[in-house]
Amino acid sequence: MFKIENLNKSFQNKQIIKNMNLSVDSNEILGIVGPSGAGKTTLLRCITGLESFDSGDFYIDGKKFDPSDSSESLIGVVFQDYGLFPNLTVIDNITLAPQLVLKKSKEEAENEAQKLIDQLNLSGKESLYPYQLSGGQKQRVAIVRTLAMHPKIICYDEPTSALDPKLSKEVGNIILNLKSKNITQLVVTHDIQFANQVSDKIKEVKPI
Amino acid sequence: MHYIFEILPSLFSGVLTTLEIFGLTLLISIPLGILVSLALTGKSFIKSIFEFYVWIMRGTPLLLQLIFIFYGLPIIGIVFPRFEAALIAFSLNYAAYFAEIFRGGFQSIPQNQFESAKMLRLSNWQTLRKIIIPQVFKIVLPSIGNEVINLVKDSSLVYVIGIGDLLQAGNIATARDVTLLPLILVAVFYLILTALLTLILRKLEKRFNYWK
Repeated sequence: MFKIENLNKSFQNKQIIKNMNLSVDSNEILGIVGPSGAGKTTLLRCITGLESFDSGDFYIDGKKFDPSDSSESLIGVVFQDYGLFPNLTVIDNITLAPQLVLKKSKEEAENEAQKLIDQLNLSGKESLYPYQLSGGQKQRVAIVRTLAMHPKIICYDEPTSALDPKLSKEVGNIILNLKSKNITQLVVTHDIQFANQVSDKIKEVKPI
Repeated sequence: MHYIFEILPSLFSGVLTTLEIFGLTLLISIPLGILVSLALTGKSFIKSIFEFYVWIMRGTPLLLQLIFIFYGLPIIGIVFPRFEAALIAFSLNYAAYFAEIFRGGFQSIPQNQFESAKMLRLSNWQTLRKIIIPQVFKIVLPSIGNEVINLVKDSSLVYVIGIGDLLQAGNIATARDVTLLPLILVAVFYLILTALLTLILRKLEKRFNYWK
């Protein structure tokens, strides 16, 4: 269970997020929707520790945690522009952090990555570089890379913004399938239809 | 022809000195440049100190810096042997240029690379080593190549503190034997050196071409 209590965030005196509360169960998918400039991405950046906030508390399974403390692999992010490392192959993008951070052996990390690669239909792309992939493939690599770190929560920032309707549906299915892995998922999107397709519940964020 | 063979040994020994200064300067100034560029992208008081350093090094002639270190510093009791003085002047000067080049390289890396690495919990050092520096190298290689070629030619400035490099060897022979041939040979040596370096740099750029 993931919970936020009384989150406040402002940029230079302009309040972006005001007393926000939300809670999501494990296995649940929360769609965070709202128009551009409503603070959706800022909310996601606060949750992931990429942005500081003025006040508020975060809980995972009843335990308080500090998003800026990166000592535990609690939260993973799939960025809007995927954020793949262009100098590394698909397999190296996925196995770099498990090896360096989770201290897995190369073999162990690659075996685990291979399973996820197969599940997400990326077989045969292991030794390609990101520039050789399509948008949809890049996104799936980004999802596998995040999954390989075994986060409790995965946040998606506008996962369908660069995809056509068919690929959007595919990503929706991937997100829905991940429910079985006991992962809480937060999907930030301006696409209400997509939010309805994947979410168990929806949080609407409005400009203040 | 006979004359050429006669002066070749002294020219070769000059080439060795030139290469020694060139190689050691690169070995010191590139890592130093990377470190300085990191300090330049920071936000603290340290940044201003290094900005000042870069300003001094790029804003005054390398020749002056050489003279300052070898002939000037002894006045206040700091004495360096010739070769070490040359090496210090060249390394400090070139590190400043490399720092500016690397700073540009670091700044052109998209923010999402740092954020992705952070979300994967890579340490700062791991992020730099595995993600950022390989990307920066690819970006800065053409500019670094320019400086490397410049360095070969700049190394001739060491004549001013009496180091027997390639140019000095040719100069002595020309003055002694009153012929242009040694100077022409010196030019040929420099051209061969820079052509070789250009070739190596091209190869290196190609090697970095495996990703875009």
